[in-house]
Amino acid sequence: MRQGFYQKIATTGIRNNRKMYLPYMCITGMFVMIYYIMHYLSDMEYPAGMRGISILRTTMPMACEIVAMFSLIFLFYISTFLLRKRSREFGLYRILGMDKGNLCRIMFHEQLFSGLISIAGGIFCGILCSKLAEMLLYQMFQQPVSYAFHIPWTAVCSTAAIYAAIQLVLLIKAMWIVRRSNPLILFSGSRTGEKPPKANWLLAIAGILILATAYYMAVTIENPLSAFTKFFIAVLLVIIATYLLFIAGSVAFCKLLQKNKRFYYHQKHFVPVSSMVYRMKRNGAGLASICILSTIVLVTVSCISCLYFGTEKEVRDMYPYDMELDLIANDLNIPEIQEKLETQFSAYEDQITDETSFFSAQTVGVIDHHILTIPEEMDWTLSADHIRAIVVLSTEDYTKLTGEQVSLQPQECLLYPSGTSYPYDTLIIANGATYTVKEVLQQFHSDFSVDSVVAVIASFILVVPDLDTFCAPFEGMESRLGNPLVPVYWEYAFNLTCDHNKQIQLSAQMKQEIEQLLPEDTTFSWTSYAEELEDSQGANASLFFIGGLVTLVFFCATVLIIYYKQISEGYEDERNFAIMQRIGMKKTEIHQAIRTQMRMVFLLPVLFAGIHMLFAFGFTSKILILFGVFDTSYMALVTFFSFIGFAILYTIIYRITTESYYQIVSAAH
Amino acid sequence: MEMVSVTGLKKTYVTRFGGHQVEALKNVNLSVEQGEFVAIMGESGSGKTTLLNILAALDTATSGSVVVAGQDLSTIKEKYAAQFRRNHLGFVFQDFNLLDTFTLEDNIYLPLVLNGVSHKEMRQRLQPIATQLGITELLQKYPYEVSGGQKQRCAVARALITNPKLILADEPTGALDSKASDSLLELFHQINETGQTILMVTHSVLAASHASRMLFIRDGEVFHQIYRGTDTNEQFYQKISDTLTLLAGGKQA
Repeated sequence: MRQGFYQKIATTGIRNNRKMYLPYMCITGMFVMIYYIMHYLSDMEYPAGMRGISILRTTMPMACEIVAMFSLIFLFYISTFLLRKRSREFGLYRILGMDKGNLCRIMFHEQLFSGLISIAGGIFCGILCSKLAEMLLYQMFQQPVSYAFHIPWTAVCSTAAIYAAIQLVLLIKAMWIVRRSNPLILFSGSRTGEKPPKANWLLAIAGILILATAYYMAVTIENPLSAFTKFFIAVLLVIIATYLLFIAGSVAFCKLLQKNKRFYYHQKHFVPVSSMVYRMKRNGAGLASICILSTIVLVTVSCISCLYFGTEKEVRDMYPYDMELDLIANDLNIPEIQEKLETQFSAYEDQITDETSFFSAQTVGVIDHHILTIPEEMDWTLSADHIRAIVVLSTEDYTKLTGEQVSLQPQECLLYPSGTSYPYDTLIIANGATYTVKEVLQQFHSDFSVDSVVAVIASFILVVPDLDTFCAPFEGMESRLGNPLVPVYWEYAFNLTCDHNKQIQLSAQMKQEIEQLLPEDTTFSWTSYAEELEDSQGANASLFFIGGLVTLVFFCATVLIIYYKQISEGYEDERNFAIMQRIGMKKTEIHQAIRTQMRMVFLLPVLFAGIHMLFAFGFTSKILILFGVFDTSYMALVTFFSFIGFAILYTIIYRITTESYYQIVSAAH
Repeated sequence: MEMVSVTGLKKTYVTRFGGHQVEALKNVNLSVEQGEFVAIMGESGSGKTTLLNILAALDTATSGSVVVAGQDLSTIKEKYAAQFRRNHLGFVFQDFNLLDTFTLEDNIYLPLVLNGVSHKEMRQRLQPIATQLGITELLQKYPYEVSGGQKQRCAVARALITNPKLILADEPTGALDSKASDSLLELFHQINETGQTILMVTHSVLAASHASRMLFIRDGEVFHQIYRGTDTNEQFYQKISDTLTLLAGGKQA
């Protein structure tokens, strides 16, 4: 047979199945496009002024790999679906006298044709959109955009190579399926009828139990740092449970409904419930996948949005003052330094406001009932229940920070437990003093910058009459890093009246002055709110951007699965609805039955995704604390709106795809 | 009482490409009295199925009047057409048209459930019918588990359960073996004896020979009709085949 023959059959094959192939090629093109854009952005040269872009540089290649990996898995899954739909066609070719070799050649041409179009199209769109993405990125960094257009050939080549490789894998798989195809499939009776699915109660109950366990684990996680493995297990369990519940649980549930005669034999329930049993058996796995993909999209979107939109507040929470100097004061003469600083900075007098300074001892201890040990070497494998971050303030500084007056006897202290509670009257510091807890504080209002780690692990803020007395027993002791075991920090902070750009300039200048003024080799930290803000904004913008792209990929995948589900359902239900119409079901009743089924089938995954997200919230909010987002109600709000936004998008897609389903079903009459 | 009355029925289709007109029914006149068992015969493409679809309000006539069970179908709205089918007509098809997702019992209940009949009443109605058709043992089975003849009995039960005025059967024996065909036709005969009007489309002479009257359709017109009179099935069979032979011969001449 001539070469042109196969090409012709291949193109006709694609054209005749365009309802299936067009979305498939579009999504492949979309993946190619996004991959190209990501590659393009990670290879780009960025101006030095873009603070925080390094995050994008370092994470983008990883995100690229994720997208490529996901493309492979997803296209592999979808192509199975496409080929299954065409098994009859292959059977016919076989009967008409083609051998497996001929069929493989057809498959080769089809794959070549669809692959070429989608890769070329994807790269073409990628080139067009890459500039757009670049401009968007610059916009997010508030940087001027350059209008020069360029096409990096490395990105083009590597994108083409990766997706060509994926196409090759798909081709090999297609050939394997074709080799196994059996021409008898054509004769094996058009509709033999399917066995009614049996409810697998064991799996259904297992699903419920596993889900409950996973939720319990996720909710009870206290410390995200030490419980990361626990959370990972919880995620795995949730995935397993979702599959079990969608595959077995749904069938069992429908069977329960069928047992209730009054409910089942009702105009509105009769048709939907009975076909739902079959539908869930066939689609349980697909719907579970939609559910899990949706959950991933939701959690990613909500976390990233939290970070991105809350940047300013996050940074302000961490750095309450515009400028902050932190020193370990143990071996320094602070009054002298402070005097020098104040003299030096008097040059900026007209710009400096709200000047303040205070001491605090900060360390980590192990609590056992009312005994607090400050070990020279911390054992981080200990349960989080026993580890406490300790911050000690003097009454004097406490008043300065909070504005509250206290008077304490030498052996008395105030204790503020954060993220934990303290039910005892006394606090014994091993090797140190013993304090009577005069009051357990319920609140601690101050501008005192809370270190993010303090917010994550449970902590005690102690207010003692005299800081030196507290520290004395640990004098000269050192931690493994060579710092004092109980370092006393001196913080000197003030606000500035000038704008952020000016602040960044001043910060560099002041830093030099401080370096000269301090004794040599003193380690200190000098932070400028404006600088931190720009860095964080850059970093969060980078994350937001990458997250957005990856989410887009996941979302498109979800859409495509929904589309294919609807289409294949449509073909399967076509005959049933034709019968029902003959028996005397009104078109409106048919539409209503379809709608009920559709709604139940497609809203279920979003519903579960929402519930999953709700239970993951406890953990994600704690992870976000590590990134500096402390405001839980803000997180809840962002999460809620992410869910609403997602639900709206999902509904739109559902509507559109339902439309194509109707078209197929009503084509029958 | 006249159950079906068709006068001057015409149906033309426009083909999808090129607007070519095809005349499926030219000029059909026909009437069926209550309690009759009428068979309509004709070759493939003669317009039998089109006629049946129009009688079932599944399709509309191009011109002419169609009155079924006192209802003028040319003016009926789609919304009421479904209700009309559900309440007054029963269907038996060649390929049974049972839903695979239901048990046989639920398949039979389907039209009643659509009418909002309670489960208790449905069971009461099904019981005598199931006994008459001999399917009581099969009710909990699914369509894929039973034979063609059993499926068709179940389809008949579904047609009967609404107490329809008219049963429309489209090649009911087409997918059955001879034994199952015989027993189904015998069943039709029994139902007809109880006063049920049946209109059956077929091209099997054997099936037609069970009817009380036979109409022959060719090229969209009622070409010929034969009454059974007092003939036995065998005699009527002979009559029909003779006529067919004659008609075929006449065509050649």
